[in-house]
Amino acid sequence: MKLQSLKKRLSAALALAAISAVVAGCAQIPHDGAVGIGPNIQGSVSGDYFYYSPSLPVDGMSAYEIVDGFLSAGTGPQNDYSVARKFLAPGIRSSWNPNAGLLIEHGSPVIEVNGSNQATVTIDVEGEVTSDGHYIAHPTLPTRTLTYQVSKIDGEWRITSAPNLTVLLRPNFDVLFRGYSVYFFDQSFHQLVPDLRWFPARPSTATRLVNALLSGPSPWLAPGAVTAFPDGTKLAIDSVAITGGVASVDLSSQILWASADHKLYLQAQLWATLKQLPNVLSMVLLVDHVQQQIVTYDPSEPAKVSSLPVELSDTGLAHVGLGETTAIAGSSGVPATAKDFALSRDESWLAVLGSRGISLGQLTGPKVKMQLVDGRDGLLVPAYDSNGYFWSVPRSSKATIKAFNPRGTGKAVGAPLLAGFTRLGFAISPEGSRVAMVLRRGKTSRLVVAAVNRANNGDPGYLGNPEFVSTQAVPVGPLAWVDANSVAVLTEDEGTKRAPVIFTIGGTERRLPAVDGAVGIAAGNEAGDIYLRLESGYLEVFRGTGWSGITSNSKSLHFPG
Amino acid sequence: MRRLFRWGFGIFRRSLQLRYVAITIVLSGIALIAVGGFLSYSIGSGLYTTRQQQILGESERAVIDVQNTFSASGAADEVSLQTLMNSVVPDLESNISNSNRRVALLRSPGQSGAISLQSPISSSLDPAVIPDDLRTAVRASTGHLVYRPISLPVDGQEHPGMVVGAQVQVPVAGAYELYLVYDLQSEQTTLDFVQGTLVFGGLVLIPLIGAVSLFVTGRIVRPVKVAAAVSEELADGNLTRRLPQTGEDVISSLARSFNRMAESMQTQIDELSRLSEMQQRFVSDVSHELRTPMTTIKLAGELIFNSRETMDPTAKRSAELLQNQIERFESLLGDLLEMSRYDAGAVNAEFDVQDLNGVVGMAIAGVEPLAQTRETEVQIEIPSGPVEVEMDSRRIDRVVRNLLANAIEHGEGKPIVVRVAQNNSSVAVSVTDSGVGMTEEQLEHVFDRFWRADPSRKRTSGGTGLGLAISLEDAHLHGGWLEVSSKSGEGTTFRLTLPKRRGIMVALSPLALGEPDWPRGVQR
Amino acid sequence: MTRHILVVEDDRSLSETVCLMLTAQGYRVTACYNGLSALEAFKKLSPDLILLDIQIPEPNGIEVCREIRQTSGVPIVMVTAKSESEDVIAGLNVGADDYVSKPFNQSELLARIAARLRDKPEGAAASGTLTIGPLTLDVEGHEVRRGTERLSLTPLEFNLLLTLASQPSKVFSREDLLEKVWGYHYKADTRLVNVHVQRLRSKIEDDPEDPQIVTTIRGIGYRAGSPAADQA
Repeated sequence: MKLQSLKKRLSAALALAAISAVVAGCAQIPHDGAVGIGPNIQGSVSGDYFYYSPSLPVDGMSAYEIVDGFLSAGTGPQNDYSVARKFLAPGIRSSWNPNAGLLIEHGSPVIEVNGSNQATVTIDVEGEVTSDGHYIAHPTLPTRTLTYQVSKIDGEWRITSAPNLTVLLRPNFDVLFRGYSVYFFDQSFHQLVPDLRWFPARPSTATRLVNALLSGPSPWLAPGAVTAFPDGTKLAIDSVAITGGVASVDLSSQILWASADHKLYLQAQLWATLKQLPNVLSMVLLVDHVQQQIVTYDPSEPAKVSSLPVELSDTGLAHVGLGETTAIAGSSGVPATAKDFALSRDESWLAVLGSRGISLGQLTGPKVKMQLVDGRDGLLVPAYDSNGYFWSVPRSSKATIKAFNPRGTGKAVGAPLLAGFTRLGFAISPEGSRVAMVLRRGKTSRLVVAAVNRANNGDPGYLGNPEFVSTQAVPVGPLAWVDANSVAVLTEDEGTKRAPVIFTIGGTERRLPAVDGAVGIAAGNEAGDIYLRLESGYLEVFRGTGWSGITSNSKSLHFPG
Repeated sequence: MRRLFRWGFGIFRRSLQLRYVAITIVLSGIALIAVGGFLSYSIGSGLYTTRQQQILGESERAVIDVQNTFSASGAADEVSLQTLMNSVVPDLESNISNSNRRVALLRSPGQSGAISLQSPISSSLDPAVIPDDLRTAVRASTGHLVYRPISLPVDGQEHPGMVVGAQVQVPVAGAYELYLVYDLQSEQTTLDFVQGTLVFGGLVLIPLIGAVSLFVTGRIVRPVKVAAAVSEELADGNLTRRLPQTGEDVISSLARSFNRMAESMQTQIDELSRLSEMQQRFVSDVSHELRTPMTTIKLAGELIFNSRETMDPTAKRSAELLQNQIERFESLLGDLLEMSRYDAGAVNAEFDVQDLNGVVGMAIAGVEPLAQTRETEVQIEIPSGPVEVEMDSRRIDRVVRNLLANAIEHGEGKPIVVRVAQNNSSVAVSVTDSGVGMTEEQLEHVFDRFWRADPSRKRTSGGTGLGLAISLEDAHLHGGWLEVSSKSGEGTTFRLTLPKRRGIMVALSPLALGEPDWPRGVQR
Repeated sequence: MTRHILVVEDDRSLSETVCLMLTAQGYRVTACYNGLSALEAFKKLSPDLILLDIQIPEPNGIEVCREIRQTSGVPIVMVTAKSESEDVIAGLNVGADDYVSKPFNQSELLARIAARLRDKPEGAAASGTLTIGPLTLDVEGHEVRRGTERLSLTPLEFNLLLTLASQPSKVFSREDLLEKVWGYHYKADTRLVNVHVQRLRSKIEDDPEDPQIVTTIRGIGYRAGSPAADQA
């Protein structure tokens, strides 16, 4: 046969086998190959927001134009003010720190370049932001002079010396900067205390917020607010990157020394601070690049019984709703002589300001029994804090402010730096670690906030350094906390009109339309409603855009707590 | 070697089973190799593609992380920038599930500015492994990753590797290129393992397939072998042998057909043998029945013939004629019976090893009286030693006698030559006369029964006309040949060739058959 | 003296013809037509030779032959119509000395009978005592002894042994033996020799399967004496 054909078949088979073996051998992970194009990453990178595109320097600009261009480039924080840096001489290009300060100018700056290559910039300052984000309003528009040094580098003018700040017009500031709260704790670590800071809205905002958080509360707040971060805690990488909604906070190892509780608290602080950023959905905590487990801790104010304000009328206390009032049980025992009142947050304790002073009663029985606890003259409206203390504040600067615990025991609260001020209004913040007051010395009345320092058992000890809120408005006296960070104050307007102004602590103010005959103000529910009590006993409530009236006959109106 | 191959090939050609097993092994081996190659290839490319996707995914995250970290940095001075950049490398190196990832953050060349930040690189990474064309591609890229497979030297070995690069913007410092270098040796190891497993599996599978096909073809070939063996037995005469038939498949159908064939064959043969037996019995009976009266006639005839001298001339002559015809009748009867014994296959031969020379000598002695009456000389050419043949000497004697008688009868008194010769396997006796010879037409019929070359010729030796036919049967009984060649007017040669031992095939006669130009009779 | 031949043949015509012929040759003849009468006649008449047709009725020739060989070594020549058949071997095996095939002629039959009636074989020692192995042959007394034991041999068997023993060193071919013992002068049936050598061995040899006295020389024939003795 077939020997031949078989040999042929055999060799064909061998050839096939050899080919297969070669194929199998080739099935290797490649050691070489062409350059390939991978996935696009542009969409996932948190780029800078481009609100403004300042012009780059062009050849042949004069020294004046260079300085002017440099100041204008303050509107371009993207890529770390890369445009502004182009106006600088290479020597200081990286050392110039635009984050160290910001001046909000009022009107155009005046630039003068003298013979010694020095440019003087004169601006009227409307406000400023410090390096750690504190906003300082300058209602009086003081003039500030900035000095820049220019010289020719390679034939072109460049700035060789510049102060570490940028200058912005108010509208540009409103666009480029945002106010963010940096959160601390009250001294009992029960509630968060916001501390408002201002930063440009950039990818680095989170970094700056965390850095601000780590550097602690503002000085005025320090006596009443604490931070859970151990001393010396820093960012291990000076960058809080946000990728896919996840903020990675890499802290230095000091954090490991914190107690377990404090670790919980500091996470709550971080999260409360970071979650304000719109692109943050969750947070990863690392210590020296090692990821840590996050335990959620969500501190919150004690719940209120009702979101409705409580009015005092001749028939007692009642919740004021839209079109109907609901009497509070047992409050019919409130004497008709009562002029004002304060209700504890849980609506179980009642303090009433009568002609003889302040009486305290517990709303348990069918009729509350009031007992006089402070019989001093000239007492302002009492106020309950969230810890259950009610504060008795005399108008006179000479009298001491007292805080009474639920048992009726009063204790003087020191306020050394408030000496010489007549107290016109007093309100305590929802978490109880700050007070807002309207004080008057001479002809001027000012809105003041101050921290409350408490003893370990929660007893208020003293008020910290007062922070005067800079404003052109003239507060009348009544005031109320709208939320954790803002206070609504009745201010003078034309004649008997009174305009409520909402002050954000550490930030801006917002004036509401004036209402004629307003004598009292109440605020503090979650919706942020502002209630006004008119002399007539009627009520006005501000919802969104305008006032609406509520028929009533109230002698006083407050939110509990 | 060649012989070994031929030997192996011979076995291969003879064994159907072996051939199919070999074909199965070869074909399934090819199939296995092909499948194995395909599997290996697709697993390899699958592993690589999967890993590549994984790498690109990881790299995407890493690059985005790095870029976001840089973007989010508040660092403005060189020290904190350098710290930040330095943190990138260990950060990515220590990334989970990527112990083999190495990192390089290289500054893109051609940028102005006085920033002099160091490019951080993983300590175990030689930046030279990053190909220049990849760097060019990275610098040209706009917001996407660029990758390239490379060969990665690790501990003196070349591992398969992958470099992924992307551009990152470092605040203040400018554009940098981030390279992530991955070691793909674990995939290669996996692939090697898979390939090893495939090869091992194949090596195990091929003998297994061989064994299975051996078993299966054995199952198929066995009935064929059985059929062959049974056919052999049938051929050897064991007519009752049958194939076992079970089931409904093609094998049992073969067995059924085979058995039917054997059945029909057996019936036929039984019928034939029954007929043959009948004929044998008939011959035997006739022989017995004829012999006894024949004996009586013969003895009585002799008695009469012996006393003829006392008879009158007429009776005397009658007695002589009677005696003659009795002898002729007896001879005819003997030949007839012998012939019918052959026809019936009822011949009993007694084989014995004897000297052919002796038998031929006896035969010559037997025809001596006839030769003398015809004045014919019988010349003998025989070997000096004994010529031993296994034969029935009575029959061979009869054949030789018959040939001699014929030669004397047709030899016209010319000398007759008797030759005996042998070779390795056969012996031969030839009887040659130089008489009238035969025509070719006569040659064709010389072995026919009752055929006479010349019917009119005077008969002297009283041949029955069956002599050559019986001689031919005798030769065939021995497995030998009886041949004739003759030329008219020159003479005739008869040659008897016998195998030395029963069962040996006669291939070549040791004696020539007459003269070379003499026509030959049909080989019988 | 007149030899007495018992002719056992069922065919009356043949029987009569043979009897006529034998009588004419000077033999005394008695004819029997079946086996029974043959046995009876044998006992009564003690013939010198029996011409026995195998195919006779009641009982057949084989049986008759066996019966007679029980008691006598009388020469028996069988007559058979089937020389090719097993009948011949069967007859020889039960002791028949020789046979003739039908159709036989007168001289053939007479030669067989004469050979069987002959006293001793051609060329054998006429007298004296021969020794072959352990055996002693008394030629005149037709006696064979192993020591003192007298062995009962038929005349044919004695003649066979005597022929071999007369020339102990000579190897006799079967044809030689046929000529000397059976009186054939032409080629005859060698089965006669084979069968009778076997019968002789069974009587004289210690172990017929391993013969020491009458040994076979392969391809040639037989001789007296063991091959071992010859070699020595």
